[in-house]
Amino acid sequence: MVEQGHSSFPLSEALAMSAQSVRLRLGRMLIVLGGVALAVAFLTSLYVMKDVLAGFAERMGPEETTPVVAMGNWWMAVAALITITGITNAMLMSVTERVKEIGTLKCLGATWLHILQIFLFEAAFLGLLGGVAGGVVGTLLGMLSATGQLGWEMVAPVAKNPLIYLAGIGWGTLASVVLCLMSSIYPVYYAARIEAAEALRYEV
Amino acid sequence: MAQNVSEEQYAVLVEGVKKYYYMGGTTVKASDGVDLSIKRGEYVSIMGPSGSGKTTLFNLVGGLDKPTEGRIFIDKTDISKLDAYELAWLRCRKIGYIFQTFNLIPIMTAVQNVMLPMIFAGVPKKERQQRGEHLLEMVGLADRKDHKPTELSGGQQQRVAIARAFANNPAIVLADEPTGNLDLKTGLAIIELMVKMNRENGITVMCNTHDLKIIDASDRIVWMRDGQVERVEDRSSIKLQVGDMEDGSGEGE
Repeated sequence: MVEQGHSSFPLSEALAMSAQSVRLRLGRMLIVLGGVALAVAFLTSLYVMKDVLAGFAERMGPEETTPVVAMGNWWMAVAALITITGITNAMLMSVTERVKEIGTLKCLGATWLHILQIFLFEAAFLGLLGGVAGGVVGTLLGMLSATGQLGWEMVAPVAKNPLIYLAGIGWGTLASVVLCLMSSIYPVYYAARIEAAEALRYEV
Repeated sequence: MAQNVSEEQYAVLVEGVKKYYYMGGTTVKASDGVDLSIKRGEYVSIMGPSGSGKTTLFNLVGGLDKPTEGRIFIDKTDISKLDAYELAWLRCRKIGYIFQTFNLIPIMTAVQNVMLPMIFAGVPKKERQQRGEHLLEMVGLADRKDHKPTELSGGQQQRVAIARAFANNPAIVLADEPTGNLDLKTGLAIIELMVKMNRENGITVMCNTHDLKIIDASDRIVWMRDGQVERVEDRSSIKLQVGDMEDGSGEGE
């Protein structure tokens, strides 16, 4: 019997490959990134407004703020859903235009797990980049919009606390990465189970 | 076929392989009982018209498709007995692939493409880099190592693909119409390169083609028709055949 082993693809290599892919395809990915950033900005601004309102509730009593917070939650859920469908679509396109590449990788020794790694990392990168941009924009927008609605005197005590900015950006980034990973479950699953022979026959 | 050669000497053994596709009630017999043995170090060309089952054989021997019936041994391993992970390993270590459409990874440079199979094989980074550069030197592209596929011509891309196919010193290199997308002169250079890699590295090559230029280079030619091996010719009779063809070729290739 001949010696038999498993092909390897260290996480660091998958990471490097995904990073290179995102970097080189950045021009094309900008549209997707823009979409992610906008959606995340919207989500984050709602989140920040909620934070501001929470500070309010202590002074004005909950009956003033509860309906506004509930409304905000609904908006956030809708925005999250739209984001998920948008990213799913973008990831699916990214997978289908790379079917041949996936087939080639499988010929060179990649297993479904390796393909999964590459595409999940790509989704995470997308989420990270879009999340930071969206988080910053969203936090500022949230502050502006709160100021517009409630007046600077009301917002000022909250706005002077730097923690709220950090929380907004952090929350936006996290939400973005989670949304991107959730959205890529189906596309990545699809990519990982493409059969090599089928993939090589595939014409774009 | 010589039966007195021990099994050890075969890189590939194909035994009674059938591949049927079922399409809306009709059965397409892409492979209909193929027997074939390829010795180590041999350069075998598979010839035949389109639809004769060359690519099906390429996929089956390459472990990309499962046969409906029959067995295939690569380097003494029965590939039908392997699970998906073992198959991936076999593709990585024992088989090199060369495609008609080159199939380089577009985001990677030439040397990164050549190094890719070595990553899957677990070769340390330093060694990978050295070997990758050495292979590119062998195919005459040392000065293009940091170029992306889009910055290379078709012939150059195929050279990179050849370097990639030989990267892990496989038991066999499979080529499916390697000159199909290239002009005559470039195609000839690619064939010469494949023969050179075969002779210098002693690595077995099985090459699908309907390119008659390849005849002269092959140790053996397997003619296929309708999913079956029509006839097998070795080098001595090939020469004669080329002579015949050159005499009778009024219309050219």
